[in-house]
Amino acid sequence: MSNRTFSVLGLFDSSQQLMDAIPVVKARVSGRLEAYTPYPIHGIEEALGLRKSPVGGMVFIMGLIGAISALAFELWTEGVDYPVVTAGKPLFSWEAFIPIMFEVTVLFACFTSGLGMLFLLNRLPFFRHPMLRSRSMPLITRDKFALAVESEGQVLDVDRITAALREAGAQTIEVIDQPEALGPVSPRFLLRAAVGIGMACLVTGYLTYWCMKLFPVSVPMVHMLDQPRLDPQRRDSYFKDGFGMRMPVAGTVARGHIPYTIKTEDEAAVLANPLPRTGSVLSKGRQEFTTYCSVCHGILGNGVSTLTPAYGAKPANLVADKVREYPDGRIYHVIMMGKNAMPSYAAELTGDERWAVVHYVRVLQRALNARDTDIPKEIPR
Amino acid sequence: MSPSGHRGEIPAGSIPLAEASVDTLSRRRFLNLISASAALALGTTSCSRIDRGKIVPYTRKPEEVVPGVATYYASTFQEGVATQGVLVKTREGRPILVEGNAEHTVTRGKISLRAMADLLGLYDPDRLGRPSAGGVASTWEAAEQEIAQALKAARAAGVPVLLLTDTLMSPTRKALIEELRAAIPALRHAAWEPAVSQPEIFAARALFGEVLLPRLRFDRTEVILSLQDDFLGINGNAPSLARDFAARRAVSSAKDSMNRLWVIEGCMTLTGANADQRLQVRPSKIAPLAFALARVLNEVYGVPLPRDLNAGYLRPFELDAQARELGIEPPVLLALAEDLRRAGRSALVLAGAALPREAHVACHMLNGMLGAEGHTVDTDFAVPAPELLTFGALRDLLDEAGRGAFPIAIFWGTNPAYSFPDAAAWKSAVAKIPLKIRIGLYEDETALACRWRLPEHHWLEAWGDFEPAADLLSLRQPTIGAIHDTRQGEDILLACLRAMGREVPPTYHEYMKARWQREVYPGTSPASFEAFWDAALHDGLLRREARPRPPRVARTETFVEAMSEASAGSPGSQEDGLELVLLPGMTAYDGRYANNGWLNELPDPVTKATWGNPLLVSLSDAKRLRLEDGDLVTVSAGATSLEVPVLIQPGQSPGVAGLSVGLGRRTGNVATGVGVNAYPLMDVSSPSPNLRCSVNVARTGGRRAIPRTQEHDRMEGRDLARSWTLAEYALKAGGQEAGEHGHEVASLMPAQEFTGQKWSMVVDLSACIGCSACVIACQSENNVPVVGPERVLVGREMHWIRIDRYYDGNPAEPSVIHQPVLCQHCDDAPCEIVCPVNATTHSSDGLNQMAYNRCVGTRYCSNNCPFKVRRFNFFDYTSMKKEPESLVFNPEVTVRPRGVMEKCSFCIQRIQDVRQRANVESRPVRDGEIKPACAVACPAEAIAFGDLNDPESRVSKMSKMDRGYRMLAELGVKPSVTYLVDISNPMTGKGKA
Amino acid sequence: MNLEAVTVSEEMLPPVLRTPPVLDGPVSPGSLDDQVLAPVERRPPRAWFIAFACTSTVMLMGLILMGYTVATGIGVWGNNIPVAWAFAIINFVFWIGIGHAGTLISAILLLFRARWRNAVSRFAEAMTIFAVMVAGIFPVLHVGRPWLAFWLFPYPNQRAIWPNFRSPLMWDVFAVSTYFSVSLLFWYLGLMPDFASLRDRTKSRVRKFFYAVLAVGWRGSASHWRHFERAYLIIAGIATGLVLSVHSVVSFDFAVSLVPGWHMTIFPPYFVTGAIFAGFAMVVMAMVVVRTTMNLKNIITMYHLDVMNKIILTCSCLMGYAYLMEGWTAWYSMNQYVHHTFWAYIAGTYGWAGWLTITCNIVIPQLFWVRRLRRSYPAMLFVAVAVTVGMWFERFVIIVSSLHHDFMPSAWQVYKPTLVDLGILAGSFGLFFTLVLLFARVLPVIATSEMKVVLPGGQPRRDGGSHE
Repeated sequence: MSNRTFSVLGLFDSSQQLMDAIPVVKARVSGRLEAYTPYPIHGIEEALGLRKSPVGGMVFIMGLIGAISALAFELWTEGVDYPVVTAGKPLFSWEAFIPIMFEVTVLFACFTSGLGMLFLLNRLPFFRHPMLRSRSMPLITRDKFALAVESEGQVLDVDRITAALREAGAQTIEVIDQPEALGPVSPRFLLRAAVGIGMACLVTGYLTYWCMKLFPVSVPMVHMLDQPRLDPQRRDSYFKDGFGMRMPVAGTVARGHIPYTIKTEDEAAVLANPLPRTGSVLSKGRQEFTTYCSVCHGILGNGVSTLTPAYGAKPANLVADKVREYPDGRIYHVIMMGKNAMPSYAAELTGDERWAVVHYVRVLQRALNARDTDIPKEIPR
Repeated sequence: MSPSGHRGEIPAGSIPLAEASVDTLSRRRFLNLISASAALALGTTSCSRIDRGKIVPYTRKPEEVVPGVATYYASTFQEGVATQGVLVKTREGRPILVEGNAEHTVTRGKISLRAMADLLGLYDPDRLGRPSAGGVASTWEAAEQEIAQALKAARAAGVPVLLLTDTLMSPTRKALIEELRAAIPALRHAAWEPAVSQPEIFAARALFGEVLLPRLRFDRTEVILSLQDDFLGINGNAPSLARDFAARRAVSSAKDSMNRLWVIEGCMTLTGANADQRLQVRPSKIAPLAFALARVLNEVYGVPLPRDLNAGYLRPFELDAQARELGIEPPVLLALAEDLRRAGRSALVLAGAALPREAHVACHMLNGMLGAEGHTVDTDFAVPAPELLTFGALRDLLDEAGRGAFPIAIFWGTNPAYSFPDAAAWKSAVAKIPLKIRIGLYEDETALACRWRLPEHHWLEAWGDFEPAADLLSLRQPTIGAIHDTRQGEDILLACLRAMGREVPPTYHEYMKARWQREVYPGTSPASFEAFWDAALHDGLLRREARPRPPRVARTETFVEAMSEASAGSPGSQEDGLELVLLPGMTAYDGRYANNGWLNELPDPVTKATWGNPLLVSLSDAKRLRLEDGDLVTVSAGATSLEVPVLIQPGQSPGVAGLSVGLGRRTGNVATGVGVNAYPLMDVSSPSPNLRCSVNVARTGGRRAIPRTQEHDRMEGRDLARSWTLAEYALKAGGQEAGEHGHEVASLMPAQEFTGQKWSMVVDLSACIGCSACVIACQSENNVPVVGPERVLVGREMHWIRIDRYYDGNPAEPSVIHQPVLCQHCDDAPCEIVCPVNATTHSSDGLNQMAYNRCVGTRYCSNNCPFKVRRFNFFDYTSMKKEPESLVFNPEVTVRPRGVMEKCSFCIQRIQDVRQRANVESRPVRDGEIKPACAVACPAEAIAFGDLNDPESRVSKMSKMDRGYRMLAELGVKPSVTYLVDISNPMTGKGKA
Repeated sequence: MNLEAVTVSEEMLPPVLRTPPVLDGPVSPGSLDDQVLAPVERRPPRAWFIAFACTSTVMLMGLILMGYTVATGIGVWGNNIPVAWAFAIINFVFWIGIGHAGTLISAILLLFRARWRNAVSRFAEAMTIFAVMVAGIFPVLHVGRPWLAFWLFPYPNQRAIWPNFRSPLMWDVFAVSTYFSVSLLFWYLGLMPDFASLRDRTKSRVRKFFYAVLAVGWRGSASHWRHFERAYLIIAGIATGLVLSVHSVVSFDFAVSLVPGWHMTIFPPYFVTGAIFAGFAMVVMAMVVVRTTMNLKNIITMYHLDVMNKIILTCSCLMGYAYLMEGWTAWYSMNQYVHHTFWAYIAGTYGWAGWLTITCNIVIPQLFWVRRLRRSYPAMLFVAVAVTVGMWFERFVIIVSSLHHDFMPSAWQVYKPTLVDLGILAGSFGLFFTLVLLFARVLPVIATSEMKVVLPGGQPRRDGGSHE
């Protein structure tokens, strides 16, 4: 039993009695007057001298914010961040954004009004208020009306207030004690809270992840990542060898792929290079040569390359006299059919590319066997 | 495909459609990191939810294949007496599409929808996978051994061996069979096709002593008279014919000359639907009418009769009398005669398989009189038609077998157990044959009657050569190694030869090559045979010069006989009962494609019925018999009768019923239970089995709903598919009504601008004949699922392009118009704005594109699409597929799962492919280089596609034509598809027919 | 509630709204509490259990069928192309409509100072909440891939994709979710003082804790009441705009598209009226049951029912006008497509549905011109049921009949619902009434604190005489 009193309250039967009592008590005692009623009583604000509620202003401001943010968001997403054309409408077609703007405005305004009232203005939820533990509370929420003189720190003169209330016509008087001041929040509580919040975050986070990532693709939800069609470079269970990519049937001729029928290098000599010696052809030739040939034959085609020591066989020196005397067709044939350790490059190079390479090989041969006469008479300074 | 175009799976610089801004990308990466770390924190990254599979490359990459890039093979499709040059598109050594080979001189790139659809047949799960003996799986070795012994025994005993095949169009196969006959002297080879026009053969043989396969030159034709001949529909060469036919109808101005199509028929055929003037006559009444026309031509217009034919014979054929009897205005017939005379040698008269022999004779007579024979009926390089058994002859053969004449019988290809009308004869025959061998694709009705069931290669796995014309050889080469443990039919015969102790090449491929080297190569080419052969395979054909054959001379006596028969009136022409026309359907043909889902679901161009063959009856007969669509009736002719639902066909002449054969199969997971088998209704003994007279139809009281893709036949006065006569066109040209380009609906929004390309399509309704080839091509190219009859019934078909068919005017004799409808890719597409998740949006080059994977399936877009071209996956249709069917999918197109909306994409994958190639070759995209599947397939070249922003492109020129209009333009959706008004060319100035 | 907040004096009001005899017989605040709050603590009667068993069974069946649909695909419904929308959307619009009476009664009538609303507002609001909950199921269920329906919400994602705010369906998402949350808030605020009184009167500790938490320590101090009233009134004011907007937005789903029969400017008011119409029918039905079974005859009086029936009658006439306007538009626009669609309404495949609609919504409610019928149970139940059926079929006609015949005759198709469709419809009713029954047991069906305001002698005398 603490010695300090929180408030003294008197119960009345009707709102009328309450209203009549207010001025009486006000005149007698100092201290804050507060009324508790089962339902709102009109005019009691004035009687108790309470100022008007500021809810309206809050609602207006938040509503405005809602409207602006909604419209801004729509304009940004549709016009700036994800500009896709639908039905030939302009990206900033604000007309279509009004309905959502309106709804968001309403949402903001209503929740400001409701929750603002509860949390900001009325400071609810508040479960430890001394009134809640008073005997009168059940009566008040039912049909009684209470007028209370509450202490704002100062010590109340209980007897005096009681007298005043009696005079104002209160049947029952209740004195409500100040609850013990709450000690500092215990570390255990803080720890519990932290852990609880942490757990909650984890669970919600995981659930969200599950809902958005895993749920949509679990059976029977169908999605498009695993296609029933057979894509290139894929295994296919239907064929016994498991290869999704099949070999063409021997002897067939695909469009644009007339088979190369020449058997020997000598026969190939008759082949003439169909490509002109233009810059583009030569650069094409260089590109392919560097990609496929230079690995063994060396960047200069002289058979000296990084790979050469790595394995036994000695790749041909393309700039040697022997090869220089080869006709174009013969070089082409070697590219087609391979030679000694060299495999065929038919699959890697198309016909034109092979001929371009032949041209480039010629360029290399010429470049590595330059003569003095190649140097122009007067060297430009 | 030029190989230089695209190598490397990811071609350099493919054009991004939507401009991805840098900060978007950075934000995307940021969010990726965030989510990744989140996932890490939650320890869920370990469970990767989709198995992305392993990479399985080529161990030794073939030269012609680049993964992800299509390779094409020239090959040949054959069906009955028709051969078509095709290009087979393969991906990674697997055919995924069949298109026409433009270099083929006969078909010139136009192939039938069955040729395209039979790709599905290659991957049909029902195909026979391995040889079996008496229903027990066996091996090829065992088969060869047993058959060899049997043959040896037969040869020793000198008893005949029966070999029944389908049409022999291949010279090498013919040679092979000759060799087999040399080895087994008593070999009895016979070829039989149920779907061949028997009366035509009779008539030609009687008239000219030989049966030719002339080339019909519609490009030279002014006036066509078709006597119940569906040359645009079921004719084997319909696509190439349609090309020339339509070329003369796609007029660019009112002054252009147009051909005129007269059709005299009982059943409504696709050809009849395209007629300028259509007269309804019962088939049995057509022959006399034709002779009457001949008489009028001779008497009124002084066209000379055939050599030494006495005009007296034509006396009985009174035009007016017949006109009166048939209820036709005599002036119309006179006009027809006048028209024919005016056209002279540029006229062309055709007679259909349903007509009796004498009608065909009359047809030849008219062609002869008009001079069309040799001009529009071009026999210069015609080859003789292969010998074919008639129904009667086959029955005799079976009777012979029934008397135990053949110890061994080989049934190769053709399927008599199903398609021979006289089942009793067949049964007694097979009962008496000890060893029966079946070579075929399926375990079908005939196979079930045989001990040995030897699976054959599908034509896409096989070698072969064909001789469609004297100056052309057409080659077939495999586009994929055998999918099952099958062999080519010829290889089986080679094995028999080997068993007979003959020295033959190991494979038919070698055999064919050897024969070509012996017989074809010499003197043909300077190059080595290898080079010559490879070139021929590459082109898929070999052109060679041949001497034009002399014109045919007709025997006068045959005319006389025919006239006497005609005047006597055909036996069944008495008025009681209906005349039933029994012809192969456009989809199942003679039954060989009955197990093909694509074809079963393809709506019939005229009736729009799918999954079945309803009995087509005329309005008046329906009224008389109190029939409604879907009522079950019993059709009884002679002893046989069967139960079938009816479909009331406007334009069917009273007293005529139509029923297509080829369905009602007893085998095959797809085919079983679809439609009814109408073959038994054919009269084997009759010279014209395709027409059955005095057929009785009676209601059973039952009902069977017919799945149709179009329930409503009339346009309700709406301005959707427009048709003018040439006269109207002349009036309207340049006038307000012409075109709709001025038709701009006021809009509050600024018009969308398309810099760069703006894809657009033009559909010429005047060229379109409604054959539906585009539908199959689209289905094959875009992985469009098959949904089955019960879902077509509730309106859930998935075709991306459909052909609307509207009847106009008097329902008894309506005019018909076809209109292909696909996504119109509207500039202001109403479907886009209503999609809540931005799943369907507009591309910078004017495409209305679908992001399937973003679609949640609200179906709002479909509601808001005025053309109703959007299709919804109500179920997961692809999950119902069996292996290896899924190999048919085009790897370039996403397969859509359930709950997703889909629609025509203008074949975006083809657009991108061409774009990428153009980029690699650093050149702009050429006009006409991009062709959607439908445009490629269209035999009439009615579909043009290209860049509308390029003033020189074909589409921008065509869309500016004064025939052009946009459908439902008044809605202000600005469609990208321009339709060109259908122009018809009737005698009288009042609309079609 | 604080009616004086709006400073309008009685005399300026129309007679209907003038201080009504909102009560039969003497009721004191205390007796009111005993009468309304007691049942919440008592064990429910057998009748309740029977009803609950029935409704929850139907609900369960519905839920199972919904699961079946999600697992198999929308194909199990009758939908097709062109009728891509059918039962799901019909039910959605129907239930959203039902959900409109509540907010209307609490908000608009509050502004109009109709005192009789206080007795019915709580129940009506509850029905709003439940109806919107039921309605909310259908948009999700009807999409082809429901498990991805969350894509309709604008949340940042790795794909950096945003939804399309130009689509009426997006407007729907916002309108409906806003409406639901605001209604819930409004309802809760109204309940709070009642929770307080429940907290203070109940004996069971569990209940006490439960109600105490819900009452968030409400102690009815004057300084709280003043904020409370202000906030409550403001929400009511805004909610008035909201309730009008929500069904307008729903109607945009149709009006904004170009389907003939949908593309009409009359749709927003037409839909809002229809919603109020159907909502009040449902409330009347419920009220008749409640006041008889929970013996609240003296609080929910015949007068209440009479007034609500008058509103129903008014709405019915407005609907009649809307129907006429549709015909007029079809004729006057001279648009052949709209013209055809209108004929399809009354003479097409679904003509019967059209006439059923007209009969139920226009003809039958005319009975309410007779005062005696306005005050007889059978009559009002009959009308209420008729209106409910009629309004459902109205949506059926608007959606299915318009879609099955639109621009392309070649695409015209007849729509037939499947058993699954019907089962899910039934299930939605099951779910709704299950929720209503639960509500009637655990929460006060009448806003006691609001009632106490209007009890005689509730308010102190003021200059200008007292109210009675």
